[in-house]
Amino acid sequence: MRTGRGVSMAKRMNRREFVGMCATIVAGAIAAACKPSESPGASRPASETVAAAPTTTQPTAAPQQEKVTLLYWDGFGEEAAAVDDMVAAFNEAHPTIQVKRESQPNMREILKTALSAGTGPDIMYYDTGPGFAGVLAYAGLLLPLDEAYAQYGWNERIFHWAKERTVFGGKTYGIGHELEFIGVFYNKRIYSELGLAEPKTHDEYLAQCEKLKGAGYIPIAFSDQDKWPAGHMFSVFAGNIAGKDKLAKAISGEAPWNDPDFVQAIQTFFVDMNKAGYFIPDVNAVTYDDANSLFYSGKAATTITGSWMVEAYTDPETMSDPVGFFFYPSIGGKPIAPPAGLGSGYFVSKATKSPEGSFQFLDYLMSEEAAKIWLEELAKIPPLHIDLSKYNLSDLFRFCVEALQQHADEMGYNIDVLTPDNFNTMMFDGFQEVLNGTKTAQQQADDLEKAMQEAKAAGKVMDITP
Amino acid sequence: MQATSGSALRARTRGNASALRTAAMGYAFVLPAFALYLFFVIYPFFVSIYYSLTKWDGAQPVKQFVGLANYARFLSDRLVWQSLQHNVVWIILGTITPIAIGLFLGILLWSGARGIVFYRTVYFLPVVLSEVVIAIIWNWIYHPLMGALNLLLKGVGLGSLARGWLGDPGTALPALIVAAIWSYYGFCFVVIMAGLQNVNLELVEAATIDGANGWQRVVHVIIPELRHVLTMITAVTLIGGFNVFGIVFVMTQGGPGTATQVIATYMYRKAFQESEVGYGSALAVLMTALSLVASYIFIRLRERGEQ
Repeated sequence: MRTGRGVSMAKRMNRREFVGMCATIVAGAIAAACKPSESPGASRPASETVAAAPTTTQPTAAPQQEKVTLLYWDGFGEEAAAVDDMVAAFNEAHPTIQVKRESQPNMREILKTALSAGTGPDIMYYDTGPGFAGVLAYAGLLLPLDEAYAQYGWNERIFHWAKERTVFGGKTYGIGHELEFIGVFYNKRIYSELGLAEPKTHDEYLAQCEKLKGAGYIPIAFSDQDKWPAGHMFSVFAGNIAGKDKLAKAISGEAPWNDPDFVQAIQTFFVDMNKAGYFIPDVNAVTYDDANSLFYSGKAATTITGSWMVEAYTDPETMSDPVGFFFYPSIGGKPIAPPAGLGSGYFVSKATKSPEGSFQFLDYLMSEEAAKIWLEELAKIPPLHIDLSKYNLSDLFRFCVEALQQHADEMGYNIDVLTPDNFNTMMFDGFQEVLNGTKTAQQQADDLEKAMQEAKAAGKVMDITP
Repeated sequence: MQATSGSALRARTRGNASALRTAAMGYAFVLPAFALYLFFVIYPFFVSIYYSLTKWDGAQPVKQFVGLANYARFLSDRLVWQSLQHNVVWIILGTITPIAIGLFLGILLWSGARGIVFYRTVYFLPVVLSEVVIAIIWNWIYHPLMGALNLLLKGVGLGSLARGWLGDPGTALPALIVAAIWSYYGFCFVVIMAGLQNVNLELVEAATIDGANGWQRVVHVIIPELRHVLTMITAVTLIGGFNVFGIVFVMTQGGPGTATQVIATYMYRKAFQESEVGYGSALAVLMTALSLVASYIFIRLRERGEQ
């Protein structure tokens, strides 16, 4: 009996302890979950944040001596050591600011939620389009940078169009970065072997494709399993056929996408050139990376893609043959408008712990010191007026940077970074169907126009008309 | 009498106290898991229902209440119906085929084949692979230029059948389903093997003595003996068929065009790519409702059949 009671008591004690422990855990979890998060829209000035903590613990400490830690998200990857070097250099030069970099491969999925919850980064490198940064700006999650542009002299230093791409509702929210354009890269060895020269017209290029095909090469390393490459091709042909101004109007919802020029653009590339067999066979089943592999290995003679590929094309370990470049030539005697745009842009959260610290970090990223790293180590083109003679670049990359420095204003548009999401998803799906032959060029153009009208009605269209 | 009832009352009180303590201990054990379930499953589920009644881009602080407008939109959204159609095809082929393969292999090994452990391991191996790994493996198999399938077809003189399996709207969905079946039949096989251990051998022997052939023994004795196992696998597979996402997203992103779009990938597209969180939530609720209804109907039909 005694033993039994003793055991029973011990059990009861254990149960109580156990119940108590569970209750503590659950209460703690609930308390943590229910803890009101900081309002995402509430901006806290740096001075306030920096000063708040020390006043309670160390009343005598000077607030400016305290470090503020800023979280910075980008998509350059964990292996982008040069970006880490830039962050380290900034931190060293700014004892009161500590930038902590995190590379987020799935930024599109998590950024919106993180900022809304008040747990997102202070500084972010994110897509500039109306469906991305535009959504955040209109939701009041980003800090307008107009004053910072004036304060730090960015208006003079940064290309105005890189700034304009981040304007939403009349306010500037970011700095567009990673300038790029789309054109034709070609294998110089194959061109020399077949006695080909850079074409001056679309017809000349088609004749070259025919010759390349006859010689057993894939004329154009175009593939579309990833869907987005079609958007780039459409940008090239829409720019060269409809012209820069009409394209700008269509992107802004002021000209119809089923205009005959756009129908012709779709017909020319996605129907006629596809039927002629100039692309990789089974075009919808091959990825962009595989298409590049065919170009690297010399099985494909040309590829229409962006200047972001120059680093790979000039790396002898990746591609042994020399690579040349030309902008897609004139179609029917019309002026060319090669698509140019931005990779992404830098933005600051409205809830940043230190707006001033964030601006200083952006200022550093857009400095001459950082430009050297962007160009030489990362092969990314910053939106800055720079003296190229100071930098050690490959000939092909130098050509790309010079082209953007001197002619960016005359270039056309990369459509999908400027158009709304519903338009883009429709465009990408639709071009796969056109390539499959299950949709006509006219049907695709009509669907594009329908998607644009829906976006316009929802207020999601970006006005890029001059 | 009074003494007796007093002692009975005390005994009852002691019994009640003991029962209460036992119950409290039970609740204490359940509580942590239930709290997590409540927070990570039940709460988001009801929040999703609420979101489905709003127009919201996922970022705006204000969610505009629109009632059932998102659900009404299903009626005019061609892609919802197309996606549902693909889910139905997936459910039919993706449920029947792996169960049939699992049943066939299970009975084959159960009837005395050697090396059960080896085969069980080999067949189960794909089940432990993540969807992304499966997608990458099958992407290579289906690759139009260097994929094993096309090379095999060309090698045996059937080169005319070689194609871009994932880029052709006629073959993309079946190609995905084949990959999914490969990754899942091992699970069916292992569960059926476990179920076969409980099959009453006397019934099988009696059927054999009565002159039943192999097929008749399978259909009239073994399958009815496995009914509970098969019901469970079918219900789980049905739900999986409505929820399929990863393999489609990684291999085709719903393409070419929308040829392999299913409800889950369409929901992802709407909620995360087009910032229509309200409509995306309505699609998620639709997906959940269809899974529940289909499973309920199936289980009820099975129970009625047994009665």
